[in-house]
Amino acid sequence: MWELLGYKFFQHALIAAILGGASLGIVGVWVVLIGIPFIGVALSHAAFAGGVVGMLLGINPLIMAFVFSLIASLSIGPLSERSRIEPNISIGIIFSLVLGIAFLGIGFMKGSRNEALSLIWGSILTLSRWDILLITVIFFFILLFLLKFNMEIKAIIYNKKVAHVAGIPVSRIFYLLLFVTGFTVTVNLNTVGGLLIFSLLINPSSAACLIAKRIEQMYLLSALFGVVSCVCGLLISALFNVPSGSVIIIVSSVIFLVTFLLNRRRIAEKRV
Amino acid sequence: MIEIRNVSIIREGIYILKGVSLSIKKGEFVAIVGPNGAGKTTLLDVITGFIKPTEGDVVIKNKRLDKKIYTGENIGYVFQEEYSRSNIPLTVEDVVSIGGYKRGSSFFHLKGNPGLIDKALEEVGISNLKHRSVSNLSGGERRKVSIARELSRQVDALLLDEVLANLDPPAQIDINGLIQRLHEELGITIVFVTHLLHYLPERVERIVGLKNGEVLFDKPRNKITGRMLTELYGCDGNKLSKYVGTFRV
Repeated sequence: MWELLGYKFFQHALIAAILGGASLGIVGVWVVLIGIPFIGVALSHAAFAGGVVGMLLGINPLIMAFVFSLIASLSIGPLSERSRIEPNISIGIIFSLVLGIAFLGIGFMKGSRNEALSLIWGSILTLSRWDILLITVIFFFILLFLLKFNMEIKAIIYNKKVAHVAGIPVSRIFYLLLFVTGFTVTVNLNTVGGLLIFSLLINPSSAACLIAKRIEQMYLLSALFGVVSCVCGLLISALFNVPSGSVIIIVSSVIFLVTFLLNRRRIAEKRV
Repeated sequence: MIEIRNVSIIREGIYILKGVSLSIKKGEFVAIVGPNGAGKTTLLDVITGFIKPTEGDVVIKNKRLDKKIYTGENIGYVFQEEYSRSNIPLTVEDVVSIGGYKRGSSFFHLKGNPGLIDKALEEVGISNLKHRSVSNLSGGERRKVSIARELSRQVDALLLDEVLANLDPPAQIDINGLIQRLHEELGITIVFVTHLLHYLPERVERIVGLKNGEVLFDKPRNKITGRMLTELYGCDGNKLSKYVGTFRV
C-alpha cells in the first residue's frame, strides 16, 4: 500500500482527506450546535444537484454546484427564520426538490454516467490539482472566518434572541454560516459524494459534542475525527479495493459509536 | 427612560398587544403582571426591538426606536429560558462575554472585554463559576449568568422575564435578593415580569396589570385592590392581594 504514496493521485487524495475532513468537521460544529442538521443535508444535496445540472448543460459542475448551494443557502435561511411552515418541513421540500432535479438530470444524460455517479459516490482518487487548491483555500478561509466571527457564532449557538439583544447582526451571520457551509460542501463534494457528505458534517461533530467541555475543544476534536475518518477510509478503501466514500462514512459512524460507548457514564452524568 | 406610546401588535387579525402606553422612569422598579398569554413577553420584545410594533412608537432615552436604533446598549434582557439544548460546550465566561460584544475592541472578537466580564461576574457573585460549563449549572446559577451577561454591557435597565420561574425556593430567594441589590446599589431600572404574584420582590414600587394585550391597571403597589386582581386573573383577587404586600426576602 505504501507504494501508493508515490503516486500524485494518491497524494492529492490524502491532502483532500486531511483538509476536507478538517473543514467539514469544523463546519459540522455549527450545523450540530445551532441544531440545523437537516439544513446540512439539504445544502449538500443542492450542491450535488447543481453538479449534475452543470454536467448536463456543459458548464463546469463545480460552478453549478456552487450556484445551487448558494441559492439553497439563501432560500433556506429566510425560510427557516420567517416561514410560518415548520422549518424542517420547508427544508424537506427544498431537499426533495433538489434531489428530484439531480436524478432527473442523471436520467437525461446520454452515454456514460460515470462522471455524474462520481458526484453521488465521490471520487477522491481522481481529484485534480485545481480541486486540491480549492480545498486548501476553503480550509484556510474557514479558519479565518472562525477567528473573525468566533464571538458572533458562540452567541448564535447559545441563543439567537440573546445575540440580537447584544447587538449581533444575527440574520446576517446566520446566512453567512449557511453560505460558508454550502461552499465547504461544494468544494469537498468529490471526497465522499453528494449523497453521503452530510454524514461528514454530522458524525464527527456529534462525536466531539459528546466529550468536549469547551467549544474550542469541540472544533479541534471534530476536525480531528473528520481527518481520521477521511484518511482511514481512504487507506482502507485502497487496501481492500472498495468505494472510498462509503468507507469514509462508515469509519465516521464507527468513531461516533466508539466515542459514545467509551463515554456512556460521562454522557449520562452530563445530562443529569 | 422607556416610553411605550399606544403600541399595538396584530397577528393574523388578532391583537397581541392593544394600544399599550407605558412610561418607565430611570431608577424605577416596575412589575408587569398578568395571566399566561397576556402579552407580557411580547411587550418586552417590543422594548428591545425584537418585535416591531404594528402601530405606535417605542422611545428609549428620547430616541424613537427604529431599525437603526440599537436598544441593547442601554437595556439588558434576561429571558425566561435561554437554553435550546441540554449540553452546550460553552463556559460561563463565553456566555457573559456575549453581553459585551459591542464593547469588544479587537478585530477578532475572541474573548470579549475581560475587565467587564470579571466585574459583572463579581457583581452577581459568581466569579468562582467563570470557567464552568453552562450545561452543569443549577437553575439559579444559570439566571445569575444571564444577569451577569447583561450587566457586562453596563446597562441602565434590566428587563427580567419570569426569572424566578422553575427555581427552587432557596434559589428564588437568592435571585430575588440579587435583583433588589442591583436596584438599590447600582440604581438599575428594573422591569420585572411575572404571572405569579408571590414572586413580587419587596422593592417593586409600581405594578402594571396586563390582560389580553391591554393594560388593565398601572398603579403604585399600595393602591392595588382585590377587585383589580379579580379582574386580572378571573379568580378571587382578595386571596391574591396578600401576595402584593407580603413577599419578603
